[in-house]
Amino acid sequence: MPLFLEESPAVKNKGDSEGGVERLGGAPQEPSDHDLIRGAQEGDERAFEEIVHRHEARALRVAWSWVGSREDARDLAQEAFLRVFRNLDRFDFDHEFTTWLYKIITNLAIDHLRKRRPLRSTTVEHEDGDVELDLPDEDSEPPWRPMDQVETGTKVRACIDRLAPHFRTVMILREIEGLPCTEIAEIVGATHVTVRWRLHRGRKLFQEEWEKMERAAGRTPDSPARISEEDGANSPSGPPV
Amino acid sequence: MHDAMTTCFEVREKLPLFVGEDLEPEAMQIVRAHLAKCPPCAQEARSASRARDAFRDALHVPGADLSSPSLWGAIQSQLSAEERERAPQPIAELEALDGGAPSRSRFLRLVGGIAAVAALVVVALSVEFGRTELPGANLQAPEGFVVKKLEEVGLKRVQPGARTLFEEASPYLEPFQRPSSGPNSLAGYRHTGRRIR
Repeated sequence: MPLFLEESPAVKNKGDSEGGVERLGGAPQEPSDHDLIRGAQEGDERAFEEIVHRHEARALRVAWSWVGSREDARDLAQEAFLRVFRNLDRFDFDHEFTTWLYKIITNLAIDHLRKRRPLRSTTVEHEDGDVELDLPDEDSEPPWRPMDQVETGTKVRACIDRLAPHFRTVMILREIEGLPCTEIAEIVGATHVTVRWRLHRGRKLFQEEWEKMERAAGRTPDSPARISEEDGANSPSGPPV
Repeated sequence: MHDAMTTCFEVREKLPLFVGEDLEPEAMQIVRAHLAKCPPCAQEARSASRARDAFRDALHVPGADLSSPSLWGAIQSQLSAEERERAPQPIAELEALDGGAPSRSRFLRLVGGIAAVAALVVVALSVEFGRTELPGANLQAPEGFVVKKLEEVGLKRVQPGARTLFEEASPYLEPFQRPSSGPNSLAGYRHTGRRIR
């Protein structure tokens, strides 16, 4: 039984100068993500295949940023596309497809890490009020080997693993994917201000962990100069936004 | 260490966003100007920037390495398998399955048959018991049983001529149609004042 019913015009047009809508220069117009999703919704297998080919690199990149393993990243990305397919009818055409895809991958990755390592919650306070944080349970077996037995890349990843998921999400999307804070806000379902606060706090927390790791490895990071009380006396205590 | 408008503390609070150029352009300019004049803050900015680079380096991976081979093959196989599971199976295929792997399906059939027979037996028994009266419905008290129990709880036979408990209580007992004579009769008994427990 065929998986899809028929080929939609969205994909027929691609690379087909006769059937495709042409730009002023004469080159065939690439179907948009929304065109491809409409095609897939109508049962066009090639439209969905094109979605996968177009976005698999970014899906794998984000998944790898979370799990750090090629196989796990491929499993996560594959599951993300399967979820996309199963929920094609629920796609909201008011949003970009990538926003949806990032959201699915991030949720899958966080679930994956929760299963791999139990998390404990604690509460911190910031300008938006109390926020639940999921921090790794220090009593449980860590997924990485002891610090002095592993190479630097793994050590840095261990520092990243110590970040709470909501900091990590924002940092991965900003640092690795280069998304603007407004788009990240849409993906994580938070305000722009909250995303900037998480980015600020996440970078700071990571720097502290990283410098601690560097000192433990005998590499002295630039020791930050202390700020005199006089310097900070009249300064605001909140983060810049 | 001081700008006219900005302290080191304020600048350092802005550094995590400054290193990623995530501040507003005006704030970026202010921080940049302060760093140009303040070596300790500039050093702090370099530390923040190096930490950011370490983060990016640790998570950076060439996309081609991960996406080769394409995920499409595995996704297509999975979707086809799901589609086959959803599709109704032809009768011939089911029969072939039955003939090919008899032990499991026959065992399930046997269990189902036993369950059906057991259910029939339960229904038949309930119908049979439904015809009979409840246990104890036809039981009668042994001779003198009630009189003995009455004496135990404080009711005592009175002398002839005295007004009996039954005579006193008969207007109230009438609806119960208690027999006025015989071994279960209350006639000839009077309450002695003992508390009935």
